[in-house]
Amino acid sequence: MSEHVHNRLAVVRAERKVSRQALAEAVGAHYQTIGYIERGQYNPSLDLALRIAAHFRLPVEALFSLEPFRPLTDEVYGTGSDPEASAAAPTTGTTTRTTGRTTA
Amino acid sequence: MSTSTHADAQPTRYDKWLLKTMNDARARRLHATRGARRRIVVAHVVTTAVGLAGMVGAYAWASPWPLAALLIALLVWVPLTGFLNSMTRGLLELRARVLDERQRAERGEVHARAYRVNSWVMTAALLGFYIAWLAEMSLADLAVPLAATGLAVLTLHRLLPLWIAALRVQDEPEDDEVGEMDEAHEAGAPSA
Repeated sequence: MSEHVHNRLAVVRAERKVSRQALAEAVGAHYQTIGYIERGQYNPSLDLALRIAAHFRLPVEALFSLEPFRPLTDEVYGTGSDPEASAAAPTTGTTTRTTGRTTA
Repeated sequence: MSTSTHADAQPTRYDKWLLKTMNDARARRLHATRGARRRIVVAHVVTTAVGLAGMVGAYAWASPWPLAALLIALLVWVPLTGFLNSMTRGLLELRARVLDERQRAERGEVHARAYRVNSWVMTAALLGFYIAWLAEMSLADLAVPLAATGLAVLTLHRLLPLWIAALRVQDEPEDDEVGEMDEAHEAGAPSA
């Protein structure tokens, strides 16, 4: 059984401008534990993972996964080398539709 | 259905004070690196050994010097123990109710490792005294070694978890500082 749990906690925390200390206090953990989770040195329990997800009002799978996450920019703009992403967004036009912006 | 445990109990005022003390940021820079932490652990081990030698010496010989060594070692030992507790954030001193799940797991790991080491030390000591008995040494001859070994094993039982916990502490990156916002790490950091 794989013990590798991937997470994008650092990205989400930075995006929401939440410090480790603030997040730790909100979820009842030590601030070092948040750092350990972000660096992949500790896998949180389901309880803690759910509390972190609830704090950000996100589904837990948005933060934690057994598979590596694609970079957020790839998911949003579809510019990554992932074959699925390439299939879904093979052209600039598709990419433009994905972002919801219009171009001339 | 849930069961309540000591870990679920509400922290007392003393718990909160101790938690704050153990997480005091002022001493943090003194043990921020692995090298500094190792030096403090080694100094603590040496000071403990000197103190123990002083204690056994005071018991074995009618001289003031062992007692003086014990007192001097104690003066150094107390602040060093404070550093060890500070670098482990009170992992072994705080009650479970103020530790989070990672810290409780780490405490369990540290105690398990210390237990294994101490079991081997006690087995070796027992074997040593058995060999001494086979060599027909009298109990009077073994009085000082028995006292020294007993003290050493007791001390190891008490302090080995602290030394192991201190050696297992990892460096904190700059952005781990309390209240400081940090840059985003790369997405999907894999777990160890």
